Amino acid sequence: MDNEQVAYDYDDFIQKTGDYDFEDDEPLATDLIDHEGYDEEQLLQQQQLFQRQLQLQQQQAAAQLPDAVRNFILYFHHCLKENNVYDLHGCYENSFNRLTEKFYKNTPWPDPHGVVAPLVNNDQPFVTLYTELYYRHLYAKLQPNLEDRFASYDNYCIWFNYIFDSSSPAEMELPTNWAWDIIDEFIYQFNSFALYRSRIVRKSHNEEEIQQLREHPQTWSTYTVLNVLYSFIQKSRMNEQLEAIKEGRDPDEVAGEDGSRSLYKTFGYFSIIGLLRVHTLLGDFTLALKTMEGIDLSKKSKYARVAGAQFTTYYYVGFCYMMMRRYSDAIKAFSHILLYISRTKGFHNRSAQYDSVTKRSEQMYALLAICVALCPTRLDDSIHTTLREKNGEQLARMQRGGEESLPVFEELFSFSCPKFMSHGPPDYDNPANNVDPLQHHLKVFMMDVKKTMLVPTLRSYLKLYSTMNIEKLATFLEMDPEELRSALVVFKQKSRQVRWTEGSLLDGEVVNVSDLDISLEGDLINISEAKIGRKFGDWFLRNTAKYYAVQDTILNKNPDKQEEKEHKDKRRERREKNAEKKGNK
Amino acid sequence: MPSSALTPSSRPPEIEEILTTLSRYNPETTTVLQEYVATQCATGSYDLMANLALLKLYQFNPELMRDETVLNVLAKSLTVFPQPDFTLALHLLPPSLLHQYSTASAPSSTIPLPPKADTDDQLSNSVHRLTYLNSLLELEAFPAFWRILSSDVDEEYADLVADVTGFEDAIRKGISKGLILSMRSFKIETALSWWNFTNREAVEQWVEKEMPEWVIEGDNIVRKDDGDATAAATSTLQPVPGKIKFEQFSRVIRRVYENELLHH
Repeated sequence: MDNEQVAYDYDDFIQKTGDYDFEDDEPLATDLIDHEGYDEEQLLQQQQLFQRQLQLQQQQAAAQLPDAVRNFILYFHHCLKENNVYDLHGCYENSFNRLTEKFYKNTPWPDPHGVVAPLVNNDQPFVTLYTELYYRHLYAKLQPNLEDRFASYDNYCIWFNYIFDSSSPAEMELPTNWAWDIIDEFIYQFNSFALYRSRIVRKSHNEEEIQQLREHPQTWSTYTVLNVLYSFIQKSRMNEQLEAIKEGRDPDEVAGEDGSRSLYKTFGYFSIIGLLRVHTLLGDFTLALKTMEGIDLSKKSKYARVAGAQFTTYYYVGFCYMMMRRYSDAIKAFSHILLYISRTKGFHNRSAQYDSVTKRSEQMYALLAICVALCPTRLDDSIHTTLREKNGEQLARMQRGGEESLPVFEELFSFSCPKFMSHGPPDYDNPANNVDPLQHHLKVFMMDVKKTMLVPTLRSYLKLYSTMNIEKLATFLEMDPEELRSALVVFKQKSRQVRWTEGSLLDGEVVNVSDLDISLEGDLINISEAKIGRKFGDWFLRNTAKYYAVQDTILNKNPDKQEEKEHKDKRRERREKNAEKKGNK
Repeated sequence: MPSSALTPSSRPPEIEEILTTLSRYNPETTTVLQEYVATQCATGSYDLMANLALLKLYQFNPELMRDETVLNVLAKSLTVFPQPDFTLALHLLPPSLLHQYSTASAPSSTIPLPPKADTDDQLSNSVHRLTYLNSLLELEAFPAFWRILSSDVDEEYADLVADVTGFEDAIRKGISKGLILSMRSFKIETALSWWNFTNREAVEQWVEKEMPEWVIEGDNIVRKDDGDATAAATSTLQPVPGKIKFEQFSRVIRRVYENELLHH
């Protein structure tokens, strides 16, 4: 049996942040039904024939199942039955990925119902969980067709019904990150379905699929998804629990019977982050942040260990702030998580989800560039350096302002925004009415940007003077003095932003976020520039550290590197040991 | 936004109930929220969260959408410029409404020209018009704003905000906020054109009523408390004091300790 002792490390685990690129333009495998001579009986016969063929195939597949896979499934099942969270984590985190690499890189895992269910005596909870993994793998590595999408949805319904049903075994536990993955994947597939559906309608080639979509308006509907997420939150009484934690009380006092169970707790908590995401995808940025009311980002929670949940949270929170024109809060959110990613980079490198973390962080640098262009802000030094490396040229163009800057804003926004979706099914009858939601949100966002186009120019002039006459500046800028007066008020308004100080994410106070301040006295502009004192202490400390590093290089010893190397060696040893054990079995 | 804006004191308990529970998704609450928008229009109160909740219900149940209410929500959100409320509302509208919207600037001016509002869709045309008004407000282009609003050529602009009681004064209040924020003194002339008053008396009354910190001196409106008029603009920014936490020295201290070990 594949019961190796798996040493695992939470930080090692980076999980997909729900942003795969999918280009499933492949013809879909639903052409089994002959739509020319369409007749019920014939259809039934064909289906039966198809079923028989399928069974046969499945039996064959079961016989061909590699031993390692068969053993893994049995052991996996065993761990779930025994409620052994530690080993389940190993199965989920390591073995599954390893076997995927070995056997299922480009093909689906064994069929859940035909092959796996008979192996485990049709144990429903396990089969459902396995099916979830099966489809997740299919979505990630292959191209799901409409049938897969429907089937995966049905499976989620079965699974959620199972855990919402209070007669289910109360002791079931899942590793925390697995719970996050389920919520994350559920929303990802919901999002993906909406995009797939609108693509089919836009291209309007596949009448048959359109028909199927028309017949199943409830599948992957927003209401269903919201319902699941809200149900988890209510069942676990998560908001009440978070409230209690804030007040320093024991959350279990208010959790009730269900809410005390770790399974509900984790699902409840992650559902809040799920809602943040769903609301953002639908363009409701205020409600998205309101949903996060109970969560205090400034405090570490035990769920913070799930890195994927962290990335998702900060990405969406930052994005919502940006859309609410609270750029300084957005900058804070992005900087925080990007710093975290860069600090833990070493771990991510080896992770299977490395690519998606990289992409997500590139998106966040792009968003950061937008925010910094709209609200000049001093960034953390290391973030600033990376931003200049990645988006330096674009940032400079945006900071110059004017018409030429607009395409850069558009490009960066389209690259880094969430995959916006419409709420309901598209207009099947008038495909032309279906405007891509991305274009809509981009347009509205660009309206805001356009209104600030003059700000950088004004800034560059104002910086040079301590007082100036409106007439004179108007001559420089070749604009009407009265329009300039308005532009100066806009300039002043833009320097005032709501910024979070305490309380829920939506709260905040209006503060000055600019280093350049003006006031008008009739036609005279008074300008004051607040010179923010450099943080000399930080600077000296950083350079002291650099100096030590140089010293060490000269002396050819580098204690930090050495530590890192030791750490790496240890990890390699551990991995090799595991591999050896596995080989022995 | 300040929490007072998130939960205005004028919000009735039944609306609070809807907003804090799952009733916000219940299509049946649409009528309640619609009536609430009408109340806001009539009484001058304003509740962003409730209005966004209504737009969300429309998003989920397009068949329930009432054009008039959508337009009223947008018109109401103009009155709180330069807050982003109007934009937040636009994000929740059907993408097809704004699809055709585009504006161009007049030559040698930063102020955009009115959008083409001649699509087949009446609602879409109206949304275009309100969006244009919002742009003018956010660009602080008030003379142009009032000109458009009272235009004889396109009377629909005025119709669109007609339901909002006290619309003009609400806009004037918003303009005053910007003036209070950025000015130490400004000319009566500016006041007349920005507030769209025809005579000096109206300006005097307005200053007395809405700007208690200000007085009229000759042809200027001046901030009262400003004794030191020559000083530069007041700045709330303070240089960051160089605070360093003790932990930041850990590396230096460790180093010194290691060096000691090395040398002995």
